[in-house]
Amino acid sequence: MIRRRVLTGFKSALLSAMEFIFIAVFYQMVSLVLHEPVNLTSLAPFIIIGIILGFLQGFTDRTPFALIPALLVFIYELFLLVYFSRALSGETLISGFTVQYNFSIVMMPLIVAICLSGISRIFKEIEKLTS
Amino acid sequence: MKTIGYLSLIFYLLFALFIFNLLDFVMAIEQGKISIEPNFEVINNKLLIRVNSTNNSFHKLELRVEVRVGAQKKSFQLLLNPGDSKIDQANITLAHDVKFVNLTIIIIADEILRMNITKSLEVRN
Repeated sequence: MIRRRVLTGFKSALLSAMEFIFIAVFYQMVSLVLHEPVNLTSLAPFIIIGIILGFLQGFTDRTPFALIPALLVFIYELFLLVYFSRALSGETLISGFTVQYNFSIVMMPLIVAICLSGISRIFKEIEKLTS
Repeated sequence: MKTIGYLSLIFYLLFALFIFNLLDFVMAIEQGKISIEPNFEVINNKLLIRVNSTNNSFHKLELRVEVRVGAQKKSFQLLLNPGDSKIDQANITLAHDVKFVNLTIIIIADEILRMNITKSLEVRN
């Protein structure tokens, strides 16, 4: 039983790792173009926390506690979004001209997507618990 | 629940599209496909501001040029479709005590990406 739970946890952690690495790559790409490349090791803690949360989500699957990791992942994704959106605005000096940019509006579809997937995940867990 | 899942996938794809659009816009500026060159000239106590702009990218640009001299303000707008090249100008009569002119160019690409370019210029009569 425990072995199966751990295996499900690892599977879920792997999916989570892929998701957070994908977000980190996007962040790196945007930073590379707009500012300067971000040290990838500075992003490691964010990815590790994401993997741990993913593991917990798999481990607690089909248990009364499954709702807690689902909620935590949702909150963590929103937190990351706010943190990463800082890369999309700033100020720079180009040939004596002050250039201010704020491209954080491109995050709008991601906010909607994360909210929708979070809500769907939470409802799925509630459905599992009540059925 | 499945419908919400599919809907969120559409928004994820839309986000990827937005990011690639943004990266392409920034690269176009870096590669010189989008160029905005403001020129200034003082003739007979009049300041002439000419903005020469070229857009060789796939983006639709809107330029709002604003010049402030003390309480005076002059502005004009340029719409640049892909492949367009436009020049527009404005002139302002300068008072004798004017020393600085503030220029602001607001660039709006594809109606979503916004950039502000500002410069304070010293006027020598």
